[in-house]
Amino acid sequence: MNAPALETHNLSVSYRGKPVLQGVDLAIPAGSLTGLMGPNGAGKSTLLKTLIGEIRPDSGWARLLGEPLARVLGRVGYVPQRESIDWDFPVSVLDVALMGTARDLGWFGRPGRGHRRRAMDALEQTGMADFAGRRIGELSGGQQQRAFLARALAQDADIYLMDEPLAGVDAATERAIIALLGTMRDAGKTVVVVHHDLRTAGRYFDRLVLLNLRVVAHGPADDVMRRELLEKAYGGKLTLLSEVAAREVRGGEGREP
Amino acid sequence: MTPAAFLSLTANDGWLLAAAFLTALACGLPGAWLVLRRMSLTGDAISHSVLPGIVIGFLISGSLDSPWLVIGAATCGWLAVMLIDRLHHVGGVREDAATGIVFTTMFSLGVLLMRRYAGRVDLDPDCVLFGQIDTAIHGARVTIGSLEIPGIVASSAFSALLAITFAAILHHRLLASAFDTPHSRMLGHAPALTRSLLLAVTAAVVVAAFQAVGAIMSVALLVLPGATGLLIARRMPALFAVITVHAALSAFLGFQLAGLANCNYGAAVVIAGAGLFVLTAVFAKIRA
Repeated sequence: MNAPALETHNLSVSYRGKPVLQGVDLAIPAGSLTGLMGPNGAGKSTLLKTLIGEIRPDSGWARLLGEPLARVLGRVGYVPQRESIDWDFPVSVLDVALMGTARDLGWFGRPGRGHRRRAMDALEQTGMADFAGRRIGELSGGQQQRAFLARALAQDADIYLMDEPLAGVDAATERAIIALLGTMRDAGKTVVVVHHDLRTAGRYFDRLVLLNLRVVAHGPADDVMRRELLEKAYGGKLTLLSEVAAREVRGGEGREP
Repeated sequence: MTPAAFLSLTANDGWLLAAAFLTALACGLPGAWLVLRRMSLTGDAISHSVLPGIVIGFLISGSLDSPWLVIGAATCGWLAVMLIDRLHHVGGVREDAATGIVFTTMFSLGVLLMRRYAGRVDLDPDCVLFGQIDTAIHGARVTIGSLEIPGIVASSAFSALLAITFAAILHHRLLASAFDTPHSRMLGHAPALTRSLLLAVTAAVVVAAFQAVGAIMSVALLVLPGATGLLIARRMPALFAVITVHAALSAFLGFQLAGLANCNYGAAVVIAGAGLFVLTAVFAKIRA
């Protein structure tokens, strides 16, 4: 149980000769809920895409669930950035959730009643059951994210990598999604989430990774949410930082008891 | 009274309609996946790039019905996709520019081969470029059981059967890989192989479409049905229903149009298909 669910060693990635990630060493424990933070262009999405094999690293390696990716396909759930999905695609919410169940289908298989039930259960859990027949293009941003979370749940993976599942969702949906991620963590799943909002990071996640080309800090959320570390990761973006600092001074307003 | 007699069609007209419908359906099925994947231009590239393969296949076999044509075409289609891919990913050329360069070059090579050798063998450039379904229907017949049917009907039926089998059996793989490729790979679905199979089937149906509408217009049969379906279909089953209806109506209306205008049936099928697309677009706009 103590073996890390996600481990990288000296992982480096470049794009057209420009380094995007350099010497990334990470060990994320199983059964944790981790926020992956950093300024724009820090390499957060690149790290996720490297972990799922979409981008080939220049050097270093990554292991998921103690194995190279190719050996644990199906046990790794991925929720892409909303912009990478074609929302005009003629599929319903149920179709999307069903795609999560397809890992045990062979080349010629098709989803049966069991798959359908798993998909509906997942939609139930994400509060999307009433929208099962809705075309995905007709959903709000929050509903779209929930449909993809349902797909991830239906997959019943062991580790989940999510690229900004809270981007463009309303406050109620954000709370619902965070609660759901907590439930997944409590069920023993490892969840890694790219997150943008420094104001909520401390209370949403158990652990945080501060990334800016390299790993600036990694550990329990309280140890990472420190001014000097945030400054190191976010550099000159002081307006945002002073806003966070001001909140800290006011006694952690925004922190729920 | 048979349906053909009801529409006052001759048996020959019936075969013509069948060949056009089957060809349009065969192209429309893989074509829909190309449209969904935003790869319509790749369809265009394949439909033009297969020309040298078809000419070489014809030069080897001396017949338009030979499997050599399919082999040559599939090889050239694959070669074109590979070249575009290499130019883009290794050479750093923009993908649309790479596509434009590769398929026009290969098409020109095909035209060159055809003009150079057409005199010696019985290969009519007009037939390859624009299709001559009206003439081809009178060509060699094949006997299946007790039924004697025109070769072009048999080959388009075979092509449609291939496309239907492909679309039905691999539906879930095609869907998952087109909708979200990384997710499909994470499920262990080998999306790259699915994509290659799609391109191979596209090359195969294009060969059959050559006789009907020719190299230049076959891309229309790939793209029009799927693009029309996407205007109104809310889910995949509806999309395939629209594709089937579009193929049938294109064949039928094109036949009427060709009769009225006394023109090439292949071109008339494409015009009818485009007309249906415009009507559907207007309908979708009004309904929205």
